[in-house]
Amino acid sequence: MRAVLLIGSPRGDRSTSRALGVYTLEGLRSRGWEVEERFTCRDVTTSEGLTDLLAAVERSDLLILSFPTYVDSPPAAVMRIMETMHGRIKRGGALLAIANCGFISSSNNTSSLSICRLFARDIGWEWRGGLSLGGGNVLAGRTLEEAGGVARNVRRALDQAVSALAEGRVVPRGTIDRMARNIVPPFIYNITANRAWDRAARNNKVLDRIRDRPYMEEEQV
Amino acid sequence: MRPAVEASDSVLREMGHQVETVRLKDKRIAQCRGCFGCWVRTPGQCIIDDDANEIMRSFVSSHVIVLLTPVTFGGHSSQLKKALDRMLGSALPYLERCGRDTRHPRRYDIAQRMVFVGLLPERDHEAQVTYRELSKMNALNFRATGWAMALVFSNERTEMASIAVREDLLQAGVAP
Repeated sequence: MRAVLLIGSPRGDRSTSRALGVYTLEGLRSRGWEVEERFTCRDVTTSEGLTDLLAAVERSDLLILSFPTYVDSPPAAVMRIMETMHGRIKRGGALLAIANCGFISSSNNTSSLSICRLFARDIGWEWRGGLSLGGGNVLAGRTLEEAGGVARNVRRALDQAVSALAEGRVVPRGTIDRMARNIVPPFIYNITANRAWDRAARNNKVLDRIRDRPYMEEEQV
Repeated sequence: MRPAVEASDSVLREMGHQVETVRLKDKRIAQCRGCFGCWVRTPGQCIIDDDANEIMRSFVSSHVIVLLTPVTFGGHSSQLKKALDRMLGSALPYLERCGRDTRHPRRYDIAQRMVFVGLLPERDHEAQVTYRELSKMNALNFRATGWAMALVFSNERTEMASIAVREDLLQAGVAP
């Protein structure tokens, strides 16, 4: 059996999307699957890259799409690939989607995963399920192993997902619910995230300008 | 697409609004890099220098934003999505409680209403439900003071587009 992981984050190697996707992919590899990995930000930016991706997908039994939710839905690059695949994919397949978002509540991925499910429907693929992680910034691009205890629940959920996928089954409801749990308490997440933004702005020497309104001259309150 | 665009334009003008129409297919817009530069490097401005910056200028200074798009898999087309992804700088990076949810505060104070007009080849219940939910979430995240969503179907008479868009604008609170 063969699986392709498509990482939909423009941040590439050090993205939460990759951390989640690679952990899942390695689980399948350890069960004897052949696996490969592609990035929307570098492998699919040319027509050759896209053709290569489509060929890889056609050879596979499972496509794992792991991406960050931007403005409530998959990033534009992911939407473009889905639009391209629609009509060009001739062979049946199966799709697992893994969405992560910067808000602590995983419910902010709901539309993203619905869109992925409808994509699978429209190209005639089996929908293996949608896994949703909130507070993805906690992982900060680390692997799930590097993230340690904070990612314990995420690892367990993905282990359960791999067990189901390896047997050609849909990811169970309980696994989806486990993945969707808050990774840390919301108030701690929000405080920590706000301090991190201040720290990043301070490091760039723009903390005093973080609320700037560069297009203010056009504003009509 | 054209009947919906024309309907939006004429209905808004009838209501007394100045209208600027941005045709994304004519614009040079790169993908968002997810770098958060518009939050913590050049606050409010994307570090990529292309047409998205002019769109941002219009986006943050308009009282009504009408988003017209083919609905793909229940979402915005990749063309519209590319522009929306680049509007991140219209919000501040901070997280704040907003009812039971968390949202980013607005960078600009202007009260905005958002109107979503999706085009589908034919009725598709699942896609319609998903597009409505996405529109609602977009309106919440952009902190719109009013919003509405209408669907236009290619297999229906073109007059229906005008009716749907007019109703949509009224429902969003865009007064004549």
